[in-house]
Amino acid sequence: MKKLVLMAVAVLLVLAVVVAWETTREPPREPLPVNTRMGGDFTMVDQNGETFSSDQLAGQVVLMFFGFTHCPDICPATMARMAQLYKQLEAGGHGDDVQVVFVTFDPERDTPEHLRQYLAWFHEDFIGLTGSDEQVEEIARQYSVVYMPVGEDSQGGTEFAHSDFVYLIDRETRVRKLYPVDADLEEIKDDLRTLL
Amino acid sequence: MTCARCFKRGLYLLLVLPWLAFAGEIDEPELFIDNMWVRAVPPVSSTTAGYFTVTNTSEVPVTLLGFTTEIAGAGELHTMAAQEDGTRRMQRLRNVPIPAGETVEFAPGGNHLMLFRLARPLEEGEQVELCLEFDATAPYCLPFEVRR
Repeated sequence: MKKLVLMAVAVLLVLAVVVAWETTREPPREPLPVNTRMGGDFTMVDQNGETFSSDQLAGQVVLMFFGFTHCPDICPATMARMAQLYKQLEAGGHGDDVQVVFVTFDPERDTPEHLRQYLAWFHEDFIGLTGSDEQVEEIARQYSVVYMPVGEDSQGGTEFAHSDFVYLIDRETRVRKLYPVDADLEEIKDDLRTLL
Repeated sequence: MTCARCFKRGLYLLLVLPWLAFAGEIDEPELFIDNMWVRAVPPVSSTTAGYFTVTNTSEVPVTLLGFTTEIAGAGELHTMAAQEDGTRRMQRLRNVPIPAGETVEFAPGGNHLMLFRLARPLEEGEQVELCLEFDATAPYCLPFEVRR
């Protein structure tokens, strides 16, 4: 009889532990949906003046931002945030798995050499993409990026009105999420973890 | 005149003279300006933006007309305005009203000071002077910290 009671208590204890573990652990995250309306293969020119194909990004999780280097506010602020995030990822051992890419829609002023100097200040691993007007128009169309030069009466020369999302792209070069430029870095890191 | 009267007059003058000396400025509105900073940008960039917060603690409206600085070839007031098509567009502002008793913020993604043709690369952490020009006060020349 005593044995039976002890066994019942042991079973109950095991059950209690299992229930407690099941109820306290975080539920598995839903995978990020694939955005089938954006993305695709592209060919551009990188910051070293070399032809750069979208195939070269396969296998890495990519954070892509479209902007122009003469932009004084949103673009440097976004790239500084990307640098901050990337350094945290590097510290966590994920630097090689993630690639930050800056695509200009101002190829006239953003030459490869100019992009190289601009991006190296944020992080030497960042990739900059420029190209012909046609190449820039094509990649902007693929990612539904809106940009247009505006004729301000400003001394700053050509400015652009532009959309300003950061694109999260998975290892198969599929777009998985778009972030506003002031998105919480912890949210981006959480999403990255599901793709790494 | 007794010594007591002499003392009283002296005391009166001590109290009144500062007010008389200040009389020429008494109509000048009081502005409180803080959180001044300029964005650090790569040395290859010739353009950057400045930010601050201004509170008009007086009872009269004030208008910010522009600013000057030795570190840039030109400076303008700009804002970033959301467009119907989802883009954001930078627009030049001729002036920015600072209503009486209110605070106006110059912050990333909104109103900002545009600095064109930087005279030299700005070092993170250094202080650079910008002189904010208002319609109803003398310029406010203040140190702006260079930050990333």
